[in-house]
Amino acid sequence: MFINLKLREISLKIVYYGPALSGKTTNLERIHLKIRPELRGELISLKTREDRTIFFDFLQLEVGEIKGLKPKFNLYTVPGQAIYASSRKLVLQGVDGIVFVASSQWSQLQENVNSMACLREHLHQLGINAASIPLVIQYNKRDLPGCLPIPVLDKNLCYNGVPRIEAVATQGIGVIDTLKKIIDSTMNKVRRDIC
Amino acid sequence: MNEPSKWISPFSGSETMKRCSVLSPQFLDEVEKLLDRFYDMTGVTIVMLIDVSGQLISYKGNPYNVNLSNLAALIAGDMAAVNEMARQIGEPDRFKLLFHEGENHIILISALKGSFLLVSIFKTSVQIGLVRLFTKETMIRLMRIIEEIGASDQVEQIVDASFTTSLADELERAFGE
Repeated sequence: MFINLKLREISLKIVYYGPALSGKTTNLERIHLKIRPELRGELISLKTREDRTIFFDFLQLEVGEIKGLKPKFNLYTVPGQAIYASSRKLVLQGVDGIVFVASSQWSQLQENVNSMACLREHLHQLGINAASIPLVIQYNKRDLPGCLPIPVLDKNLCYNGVPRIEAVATQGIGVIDTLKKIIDSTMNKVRRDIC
Repeated sequence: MNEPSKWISPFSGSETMKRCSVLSPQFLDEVEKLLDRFYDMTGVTIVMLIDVSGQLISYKGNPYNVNLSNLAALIAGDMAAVNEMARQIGEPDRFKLLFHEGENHIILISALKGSFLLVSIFKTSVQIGLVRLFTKETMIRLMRIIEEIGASDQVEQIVDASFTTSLADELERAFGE
């Protein structure tokens, strides 16, 4: 978190992490679409020719002034494909809160588990205690027929009562709730740490 | 501060441990003076100081009205990627300087103490030797400011319960709900 007392700005870095094709970029696209235009920046996407994220997507949001400070949220996604593991770690530098976007497809269960393990490893390498960083898990693609039951996803991904939200990002369902939850968790963490 | 160990500033602690950075007006005034001087003496189009995680700290000049937050995120990603390349090939230290030259513009990125990046963007007609000279000088002065002034400790006065409640209300408004 960055607080600039001259410009009266407070900035948080939120990273959307998860396996390939789980819907991380779609989350940012829906947020970009739903927020009032004057409060958002351009959605920057570093993509391959095949439209897959190669490094990260970036979107800055801001909301109205609070106590003389303007909150800004820098949202990033990571590339989900296995070959971009190094890039994923780089995007996590300076992170304040993480949204783990899991796919609800049966075929993606192991990918979700592997990606969660990768996240923990990356945080460890960056000197961040995984248990200390605010985390929200989004179970995306809940509209797909025969998707994984929630208890199965919980058993494999959701540790220690981490908040989780069901979503259909392509329709915008659960996207804003996820964002609000991670911002709330992150601000509460900040308060807990300073009190 | 109640628990200083948890709130290590970018000026004094390990980069990987910092969680909250409060930049004081005094620090930012000094940085602004340095960037003003850099801008006036070199003729660059934009000079900015950013954090390695992509946070814009201060800048001078922006005639094209570029979104500098976007630019800062991309530059931080650029430097992070190059440093990872350095690590992969066994380079013992981080790369300290990146140089990108286009047909009309040059971007020069210098790393400062592993925490900050000084970025200058200038036309190819500008003397690069002069920019590099002032980059070096500015880096030395910046390091001095960082060591002398350090960070503010006003976080607890800013982020209280009423702040988080108001933030939730503002988010509702932002999404028109």
